[in-house]
Amino acid sequence: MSAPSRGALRLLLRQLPLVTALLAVLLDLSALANASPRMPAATVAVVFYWSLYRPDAFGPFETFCAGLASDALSGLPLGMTSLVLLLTRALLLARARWLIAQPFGVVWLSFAFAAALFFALQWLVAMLYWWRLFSLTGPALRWALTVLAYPALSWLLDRLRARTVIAHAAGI
Amino acid sequence: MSLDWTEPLEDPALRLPPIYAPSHGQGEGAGRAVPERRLQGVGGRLGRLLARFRTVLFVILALLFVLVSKADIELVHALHGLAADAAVGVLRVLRVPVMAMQDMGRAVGELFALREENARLRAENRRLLAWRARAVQLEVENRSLRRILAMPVLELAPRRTVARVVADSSSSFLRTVLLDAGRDRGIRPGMAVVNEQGLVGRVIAVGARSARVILLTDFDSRIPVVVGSSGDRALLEGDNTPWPKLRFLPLNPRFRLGDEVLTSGSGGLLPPGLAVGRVTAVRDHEVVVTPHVDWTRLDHVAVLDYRPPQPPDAEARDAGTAAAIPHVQGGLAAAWMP
Repeated sequence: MSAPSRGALRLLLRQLPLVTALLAVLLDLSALANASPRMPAATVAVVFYWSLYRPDAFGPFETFCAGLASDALSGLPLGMTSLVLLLTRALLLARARWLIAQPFGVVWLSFAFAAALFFALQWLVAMLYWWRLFSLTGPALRWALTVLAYPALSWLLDRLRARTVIAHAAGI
Repeated sequence: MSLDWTEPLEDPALRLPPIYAPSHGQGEGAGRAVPERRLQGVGGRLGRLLARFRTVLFVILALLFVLVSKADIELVHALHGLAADAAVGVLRVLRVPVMAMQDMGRAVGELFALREENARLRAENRRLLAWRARAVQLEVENRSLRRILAMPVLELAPRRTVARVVADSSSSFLRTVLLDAGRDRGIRPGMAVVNEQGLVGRVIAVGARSARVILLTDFDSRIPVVVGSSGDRALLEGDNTPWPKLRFLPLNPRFRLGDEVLTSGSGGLLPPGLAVGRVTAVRDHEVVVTPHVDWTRLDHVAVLDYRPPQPPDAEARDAGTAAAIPHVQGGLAAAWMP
């Protein structure tokens, strides 16, 4: 492998959490028109995953960037998703040491709590921002779908995480 | 080598560098070692302090961004536009498999209902042919009446720019979509967006290569409309459900359930006579309209460059009310004509 492509690959592997989070933002937006409130929110799941397993590579800056990209692309007020993601992440990390050693069922349950917190906070911030009442049905439905989709997404990200470890061990 | 996905990557056999070990810290302390080391050279104690409170710093930054967004300044619109322009290419590619999957699902569903669909389409075709004949007849009549009254002929077929919906940012709080055409194709804020079924919404923000469309179901959408043959004028307000409501109807409205709802053209922003939907229910003092547009099948749309007629002079203004109804009929006929 030539030196430049090796460098690019190393950079990609190092920034993999941020790259996957940005991809998740795009994936959330590429959903079907007016059907996206009934689609899982991949961004929340990806941010949760990397914040738990790779907090060194997915810190507050990366969380902020993912949220900002989501807001800028979706037309939401800039900073709204960043704010909610950062608060959810801070609460998650308080329990990270304990959580990381638990079986997947417990991690999944914790994700359900974290996602509920995310959607509830987002709903609250949106109501304060626009000063109007929004229905909770939409966020609740989206939360349920996101929780259901988490195992599949987590499995996929596990494969990616394993690849970065193997690549690192191979000296890439 | 395979890794159990439930197992955190802390196996000493892998001899991972510290950054791969699951970091267990207190709050932001997690994974502190790396940023601290990076920052030590920069600012010593201040650097360590910053690393410790990075989450707090970014929360404050996010809050500042929200406050700036609330101020509704041009810079925020420009940032939204820039982000959309940058992502439009990737979104266009990502949308292909999504649409393909949707088409596949639809095709399988349609296979089972082919016979019924065929019969329905034949009946609809017969009905539409009758309507077409009626529209042509009305158009001819309208033209001759206009000639008699010496009224200027309206620009009934505005310039169209066809664009693709590349992203849907509909959430529980917003109903907007992103188009892959912007200033580069002459799109300006306020333009009406339609598809073959009817009015979709209007453009609210434009980037160099992208445009954001507020759907008529959005909380902030207000469309001046006229209800079918009754001529009742109203405002169609979105409420983030698929069923916008009619507001500010006359005191004694004359419309009936099933009546067509069309744009009235009031305010001069949207062309008159665009099909919007049908009145489908009246409940709890609310008049519910079901839009014609199938929101799950929003792919290609046309952005209309409509320039309203110049304000009429004093005499024409006196006759304004009387001219309102033929004005709408002419528009409707033209909208449905091939």
